[in-house]
Amino acid sequence: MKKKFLKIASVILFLVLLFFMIGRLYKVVSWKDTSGDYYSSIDQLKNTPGNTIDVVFVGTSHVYCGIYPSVMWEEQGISAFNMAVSGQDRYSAYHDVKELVKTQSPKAVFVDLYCMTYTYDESIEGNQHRNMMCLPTSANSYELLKDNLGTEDAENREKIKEYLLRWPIVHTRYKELGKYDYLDLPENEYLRGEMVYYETSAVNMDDIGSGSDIVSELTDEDLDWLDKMVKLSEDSGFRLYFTMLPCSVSEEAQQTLNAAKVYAEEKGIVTLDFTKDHLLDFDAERDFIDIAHLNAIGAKKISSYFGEYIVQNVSVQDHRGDERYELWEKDLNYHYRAEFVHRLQSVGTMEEFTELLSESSDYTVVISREFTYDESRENYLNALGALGMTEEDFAVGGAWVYKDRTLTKVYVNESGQEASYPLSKYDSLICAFNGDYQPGNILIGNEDYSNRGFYLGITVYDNELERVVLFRGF
Amino acid sequence: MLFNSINYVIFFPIVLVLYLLLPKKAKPVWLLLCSYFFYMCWNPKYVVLILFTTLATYVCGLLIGKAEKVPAKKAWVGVCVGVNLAILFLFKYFDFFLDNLNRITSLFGGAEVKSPFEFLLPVGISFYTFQAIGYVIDVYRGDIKAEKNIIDYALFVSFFPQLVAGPIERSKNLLPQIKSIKEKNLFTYENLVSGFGTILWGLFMKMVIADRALIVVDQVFARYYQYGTVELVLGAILFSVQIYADFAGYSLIAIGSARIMGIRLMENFNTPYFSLSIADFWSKWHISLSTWFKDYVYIPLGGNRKGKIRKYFNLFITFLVSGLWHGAAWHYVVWGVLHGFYRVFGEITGKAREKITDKLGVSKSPFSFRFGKAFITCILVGIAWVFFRAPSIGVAFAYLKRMFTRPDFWVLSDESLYNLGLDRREAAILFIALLALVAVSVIRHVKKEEIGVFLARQNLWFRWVIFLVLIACILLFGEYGTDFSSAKFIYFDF
Repeated sequence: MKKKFLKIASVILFLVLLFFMIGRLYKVVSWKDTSGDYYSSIDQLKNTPGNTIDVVFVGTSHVYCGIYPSVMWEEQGISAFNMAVSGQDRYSAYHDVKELVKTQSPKAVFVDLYCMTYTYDESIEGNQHRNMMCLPTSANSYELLKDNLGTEDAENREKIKEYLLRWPIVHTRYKELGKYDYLDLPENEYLRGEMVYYETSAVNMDDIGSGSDIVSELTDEDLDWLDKMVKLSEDSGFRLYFTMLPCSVSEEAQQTLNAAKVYAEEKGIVTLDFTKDHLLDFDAERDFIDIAHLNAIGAKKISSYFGEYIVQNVSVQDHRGDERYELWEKDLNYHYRAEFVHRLQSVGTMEEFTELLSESSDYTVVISREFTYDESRENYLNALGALGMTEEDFAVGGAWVYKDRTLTKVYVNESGQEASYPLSKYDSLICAFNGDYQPGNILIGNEDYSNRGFYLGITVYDNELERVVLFRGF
Repeated sequence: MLFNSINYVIFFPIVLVLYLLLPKKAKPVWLLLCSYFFYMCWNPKYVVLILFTTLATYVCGLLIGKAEKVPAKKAWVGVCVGVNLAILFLFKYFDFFLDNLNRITSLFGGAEVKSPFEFLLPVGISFYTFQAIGYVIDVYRGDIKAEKNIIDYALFVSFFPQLVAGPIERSKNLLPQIKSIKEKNLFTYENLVSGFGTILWGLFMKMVIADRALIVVDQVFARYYQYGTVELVLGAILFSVQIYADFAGYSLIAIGSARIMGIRLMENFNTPYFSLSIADFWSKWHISLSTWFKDYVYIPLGGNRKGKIRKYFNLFITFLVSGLWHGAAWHYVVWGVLHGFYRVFGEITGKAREKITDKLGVSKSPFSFRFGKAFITCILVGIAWVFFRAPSIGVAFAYLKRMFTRPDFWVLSDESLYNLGLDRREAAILFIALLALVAVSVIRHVKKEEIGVFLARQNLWFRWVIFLVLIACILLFGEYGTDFSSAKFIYFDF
């Protein structure tokens, strides 16, 4: 009897161990992001205290690039959340909102209609997987799979099974695992769903929208989706809005969107169409990443507009100062930091650069002088003086770390020995001198930040994000 | 339902739990229902064929058992074997036959005859047909009594772990075990542990090794005309690995699944690539089939009882039939004939070779001598595999010709081998997995026990670590999921 009990206990214990191992492994190989580079609005939502989100934005990359809740927080104290997912198809938009209302009671949800213009089948494979797997497995995620794939076709039934099990799709990720497959991306703790981009390219404003005013007939699927969204808003008690953020669309898609607008109007739903009616004073030269995506400058404009619109039309409170909303404060702080890095990137002279650097204590700055021959040393010394560099120190070359407003020399060129400096729990700075312009002089992790054709290299390491956010050579 | 599918991962535990919970008398019925469900997952309508084969051989078995005179018994065996082989011919060989007939008649200006049928090859038809025929012959020979219980007999023909790709069981081994299900509890903790270990290793062989090697094999055989010696040798070696890991892996999953339920299936592979001769190879490769051919073809033909010439002829015929059993195509026939030739040549030259070795004073005891013999056997088997894998005899010859005439040893150092479908990481995974395969084969060879049984005897912590590592490797490095469509066992087509 005792033996039998021990055998049963060992089987149970083995199964416990097995499920624990599979759980840990799955955490590593699982698909983690909704907008690339491990940024996950779903994880950010998971980290958000219940019933704190007042306003939700849903849509594709147009939305996570174009709408910054931090702007609305800073200006009006609105607790907005951006639940956009790369290539979010319409059913994903619907089920993502359904997922959100499990823990939140938003007063308004803004759904970008661009997600109506393509289906799951038309998405690229990465976005298909992202949209189908970003939701935790539940009845809701199963419904999403059924809506997008249907159950009539045997191949699609097999796909549904694979999506539900996850492993058949994600196990091949062992080929691409990175640091943030093992660790949580710090930003996923507090970002509010947006992605901050400062990249800029000039666009032609005439390319926004298609210009067509024709209203096509909505398909049964279109109507079904629109009705579902309306029903969800009624059931969950939020006010539904549709949006069209500035982007180029085909003639055919525009006609469908026009029809959706008309249908929405009949149902009493407002559509904020930035391709036509609400074109703000966008700067074609500065506000866009490309014709479909606003950058941080453009996003600030449109987010300000939304903030004002929401205050006027939705009954929301100013939550600034409330401890429960500290994530929004952190999110805003992140934006300040991103803006700071952008300014560092944009300043023209080294003097301006070092002056800016000296203002902040959020970063560890690695200064390296590896090019030993130079006759214009004075110019650099003037700029580096702001960080406390002396002429004697600079003359011999090497690597310095500027942290907490203190400059520390960590390496002297031609000393012959490697030197290291801890930057965080996982990263160390490794300094060596392999010669002018040689690789391996400055290493952080596996990344090489050695000067390549510069006299002076400055690497900026964010202490909170624990990664390099900028490298500039002078 | 594939063994390496989630369906089987769900199906088998459900079968097992209910098998354990049901009263003893209901167990065979439950297993029979599960076996038919398992078979019908592929193509429900072909269940008619297995039902027919079951009923035909069951009735014939009873009639043979009742018949008192040998001619009557012979007649029933003849009818039964004939009918079953006719079905096999119709579904597997008719198109091949017609194709060859058309080729011959076209030489004389004859019109092409088109097949009136559009059959798909029923999964596992060669396996269960041979198993059922074996039973009828066993009853005729008096090795076993005719089975009266139709449920037990139907389960013998269709027992799901070995239904679609063997091992081809003998009635003497499997039927008594099936009958004992009703009498005693066959499930034990030891069987559970060793069966589980066997299944895991089988899955590892199939999903991590075979299906990874397949990527290179497919590439090399599809574009053999652009490769030289090194790639073609690699392709042949990896096909030898693939077919072994694939089929032996499958057999192990079948054996492990059955063992968990308390049923001992016969061993199908016993480190065949450690064989010292072709004869030795065939005593270790696909043992259930090679012994079937020995018992039901070679011996009835006269075996070695009618002189040397007749023995060689019998050997040759047996291997030719074996080649044809593997597929309805001439390249399979050539593969069988080649092995027949190896065997006959081995028999004829055996003594002469012994004498030469003795005269040269070569010692037969060192490892190096046995290694050399095993190496030569592997080369001979590997060359024959080219005929097996190539889509036609012409391609096989062209492949071998290029292999011996296009030396391109620079590809060993210029990294172009990583363009054959496996990059560095994947090649490293395959290499490490092959090391594990060699280690397990050595254990099997030295300890004379199969990996599941070996693991079951080890300490708990060691066993668990191996089990967990195997599961992690299968989950992570197994070739399955949406990006991989070739997850089919090679031997299902036979």
